[in-house]
Amino acid sequence: MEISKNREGNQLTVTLTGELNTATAPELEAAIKDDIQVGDTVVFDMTGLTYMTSAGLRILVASEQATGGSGAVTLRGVCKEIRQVIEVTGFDSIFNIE
Amino acid sequence: MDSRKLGIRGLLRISVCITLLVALPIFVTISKMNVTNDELARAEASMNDELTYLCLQLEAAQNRARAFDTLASSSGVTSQDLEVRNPEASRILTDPIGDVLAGYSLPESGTVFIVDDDKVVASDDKRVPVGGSMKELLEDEVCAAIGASIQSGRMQTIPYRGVFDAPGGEGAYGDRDDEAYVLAKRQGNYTILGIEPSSMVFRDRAQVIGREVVLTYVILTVVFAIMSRLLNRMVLRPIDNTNEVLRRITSGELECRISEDGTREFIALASGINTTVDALEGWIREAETRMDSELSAARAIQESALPRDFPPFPSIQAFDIYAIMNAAKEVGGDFYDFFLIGGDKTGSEKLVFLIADVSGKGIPAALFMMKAMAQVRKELEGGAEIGQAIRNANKDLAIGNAACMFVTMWVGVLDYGTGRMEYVNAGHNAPLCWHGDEGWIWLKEKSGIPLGTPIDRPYKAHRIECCAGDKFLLYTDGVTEAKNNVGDMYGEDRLMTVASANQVERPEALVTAVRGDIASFVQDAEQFDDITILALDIQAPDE
Repeated sequence: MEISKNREGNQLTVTLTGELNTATAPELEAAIKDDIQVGDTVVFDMTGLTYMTSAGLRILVASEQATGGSGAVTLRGVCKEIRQVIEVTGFDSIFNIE
Repeated sequence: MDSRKLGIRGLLRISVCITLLVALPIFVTISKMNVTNDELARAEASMNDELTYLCLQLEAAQNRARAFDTLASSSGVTSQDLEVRNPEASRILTDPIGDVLAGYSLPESGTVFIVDDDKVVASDDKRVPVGGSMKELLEDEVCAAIGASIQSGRMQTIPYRGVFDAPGGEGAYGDRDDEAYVLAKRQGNYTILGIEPSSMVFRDRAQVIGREVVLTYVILTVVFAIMSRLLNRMVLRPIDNTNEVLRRITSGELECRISEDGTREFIALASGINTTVDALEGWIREAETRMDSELSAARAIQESALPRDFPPFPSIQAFDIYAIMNAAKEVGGDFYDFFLIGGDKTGSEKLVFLIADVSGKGIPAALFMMKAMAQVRKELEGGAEIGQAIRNANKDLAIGNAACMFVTMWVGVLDYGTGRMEYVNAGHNAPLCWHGDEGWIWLKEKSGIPLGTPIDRPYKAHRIECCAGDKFLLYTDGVTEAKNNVGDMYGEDRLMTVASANQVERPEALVTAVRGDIASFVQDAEQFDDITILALDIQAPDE
C-alpha cells in the first residue's frame, strides 16, 4: 500500500493506494498517528484503494477519535466494496462519505 | 544501504585517476629538470670536445706558422714567393688562424669564432665578421659570461639575443627570448668561443620528456592494475561474500555461516561473525520456543473460553447448535458463544447465541475478544434487555480502549419455549436465516455500530417469531473474504449456494459442509483471517 500525506492548515489529507488490510494497517497507523490533533479535519482519499478489512476500519475509527470525535473524518472516492464494509459495520454514520 | 555511496572499487578507480592527473605536471616538471641537466651536460661535453680539438688545431697552425717563419728567414723565401709558387700552402702558412676554421662549423648549427684580444680573427658565422670588435658585437653580459667561462672552464648561460643583437645579427636559431650557452677556451693569445642556442641544445627535450612520462604512466598503470587485482582478491571478494552471507542471515536463513578461510584478518572476522550468529540463532530459537509455548497456552485458554462440547445442552430438544472457530494465527479475534439465561423467577429460559469479530488479529485481538465476550455475558446474564445489554457492553469496552479496537457482533436471544427471538446486529455481517417457507434469506437489519467505540448510542433490538424448522447460519467475514491463490474471494453467493445444497442438514453437518466448501475454494492459499461459523436449528418447542 502507498500512503501520502498533505497538510493544509488544520486539514490533513491522506491518500491511500492499494489494499488496507491486516498487513498494511500498521503502516498507516504509524504514518498518521502523530499527525492528527484534536480539532483537525482528516480526509482519506481512497480513490486508489481496492480493499479494506476491519483492521483498516480500526485506523479510520482511531483517526476519528484523535480529532476529538466530532465527525471530522471524511472518506473520499470510496469504492463499492469498501463502502459495503463501512455500511455493514454501521460506521457510515460516523464518517462523512463523499 | 545507500546505493548512491561509492564502493571501494569505484573509490579506488576515482582516486587513481585523480592521483595520475595531479601527478602529471609533477612528473613532467621532474622529468624536464632531469632531461635539462642531462642535455646541458651532454652539450657542455660535446662543445668542450670540439673546442679542445680546435685548440689543438690552432696550436698546430701556430707551430706551422712559426716553422715557416724560421724557414723563410733562413732560406730567404718570402711569402710572396710562396704565394706565386703554391697559393694553397701560402694561404695555410700565412693565415694559420683563418685556416683553423676553414670548412669547420659546430655541429647542430652552433657558432664558433676565434678572438684575439677584442678582435675577431676567425669565424664560421657571417654574423660575427672577421675583424669585428667583441665589445661592439656582443653585449656586456655576454662578454662577462665569456670571461667566467674562461676562468671556470664551464659552459655559461647567456641570453640569445645578446649574441647577435648587432645589426645584421638576427637570431637564426630560435626565439630571440631563448637562452644560449657559451664555452670559451684560451689558446696562447687567442680565445676560442663556442655558442649554442638552447633550441639546439634542447631540440630533443620534449620528445624525451614525453617518452619518460608515457613510460612512467605505463608502469604505474600496470602497478595499479596488479594492486587492484590483489585488493580484489584479498579484500573485496571476501567482503562481498561476507555481505552476501549476512544478507541471507538477515533474510532468515539463520543456518548460513561465513566460510572461515583466506587471510588471517578475514578468518578472524568470519569467525567473530559466525560466533555472533550462533549466539543470535540460539537466542532466536529460544525466544521462538518460549513464544510458541506461550502462544500455545494462550490458544488453549482462548479455546477453552469458547463452548466446545456438542450438544451443549443434551436435555434440551428445542434447538440444536454447532459452531467452529479456526484462527488464522495461533490466537484469533473471532469468537462465538452461547449460553442459557433466565429460567428462574425472571421468566422462561432463553438461549443466547452470538458471533463476533474483533478488528485485527493476534494477541491484541485475542485479549480484546476475551474482554468483549465476558462483558456481553455479564450484561445478558445480569438480566438486561438485549439492546441495553449491548449498549452497556459497548460503554465498558470503550473505557481505556487506547488502541481503538472494536468488535462487530450479532447476538440473538431465543425464547425456545415460545420461539420468540430478539436480536441485535452491532455492525456484523448479515447472517443467513431459514424462516418458514422463504428459504435462506439474509437478515440485513442493523442495530448500531460495533462495540468498543466511545460513541454511546442505543442498539435497536429486532424481533422474529421462529417456528420449528427455522435455521440460522452465522459467520464472520473470514468466510466471505477467504481468498484463493488468484485473489478471488469466497463471497456471499458461494455461501448461499453451499447453504442451500445442505439445507436439510443438522447444524454440525451444515457447518462442516460450509467449512469444507471454503477449504476446497481456497485450496493451499494462506489463511489471512479467522474463520468462524455458527449454525442453529430450531426444533419443536419442548413440552
